[in-house]
Amino acid sequence: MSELRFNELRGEQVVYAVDRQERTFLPDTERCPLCPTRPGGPVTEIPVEAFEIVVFENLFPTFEAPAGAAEVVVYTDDHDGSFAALEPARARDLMWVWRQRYEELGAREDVAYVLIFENRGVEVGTTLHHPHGQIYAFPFLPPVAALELAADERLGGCATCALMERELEGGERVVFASAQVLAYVPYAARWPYETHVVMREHRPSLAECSGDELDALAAALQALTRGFDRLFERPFPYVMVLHQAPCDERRAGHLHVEFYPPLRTATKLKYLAGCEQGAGTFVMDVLPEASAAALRKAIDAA
Amino acid sequence: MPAEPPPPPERYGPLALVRVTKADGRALILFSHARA
Repeated sequence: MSELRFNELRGEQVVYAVDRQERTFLPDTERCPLCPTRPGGPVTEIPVEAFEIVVFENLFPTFEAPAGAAEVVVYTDDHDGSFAALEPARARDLMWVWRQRYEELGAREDVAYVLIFENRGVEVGTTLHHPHGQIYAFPFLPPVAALELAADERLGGCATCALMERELEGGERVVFASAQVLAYVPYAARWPYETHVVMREHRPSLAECSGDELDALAAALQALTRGFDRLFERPFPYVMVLHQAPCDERRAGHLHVEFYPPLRTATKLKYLAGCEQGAGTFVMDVLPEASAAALRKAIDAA
Repeated sequence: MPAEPPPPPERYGPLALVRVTKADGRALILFSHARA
């Protein structure tokens, strides 16, 4: 069971999940725990010969009942795939899987916030290459979600709606637009290719989205991630995080997906160093307008 | 006595869900696109 300790200087919780030190680390393809269990092959986490999408409780949980949950979401039984390379129909189904888990986990009394995310690439610490994401059902409201609620208060309404309107005014940081979804490198991005994929209508979470909106979200996320891979002609590492309403303030959020890619060039990483870690202030080498122009071109070409 | 048939899958939107309990007690859900 994890232990929570409150860091008084930072005013935030730290989670000690020490069993995770033993978790599977970059196994050979033949020993991938997220592949199906094939006849004559090793028994994996998934006891069937083929599957579409699977969700299961993490063997090395950061949170677990009765104080939250940690789940693994496996997108496909194809070990060599990626979110960007999923068949569009599978990506659309994944939106429904995320929504189902958000609703079911969010209804639990021991869950305050549902965080759906994907870490892609060893650069951001992924330990399994098989295409998958994770879900952490927090027993407390984490700081980023709290900051978003504070931004709503500071701006006197939905901050995400207001910021999206600002992005639409000039449009120079917009990289993808459809009738239901807008994607842009934000005005004050903290990563060279940070991108926010935002529902145009105010939808607190996946649960309030129509089927058409979920389809549009899947299409936008795939257009962006394919563009990322095209940008430097290499698999593009990223952290992808769904931002949704907290469980007990279901009207407060605005569904959007934030990407934090660590690359600043094809071969160079942006590190969180002295200024970022010691002062909490990000220093950037590139303007968001410049990275948006490059990313827009890559998305169009992908 | 024939074995009891598995319960019909749950439905959620366009998906069918089958819930499984793994040998070590952890929960697993198989999601598939429900065919009409």
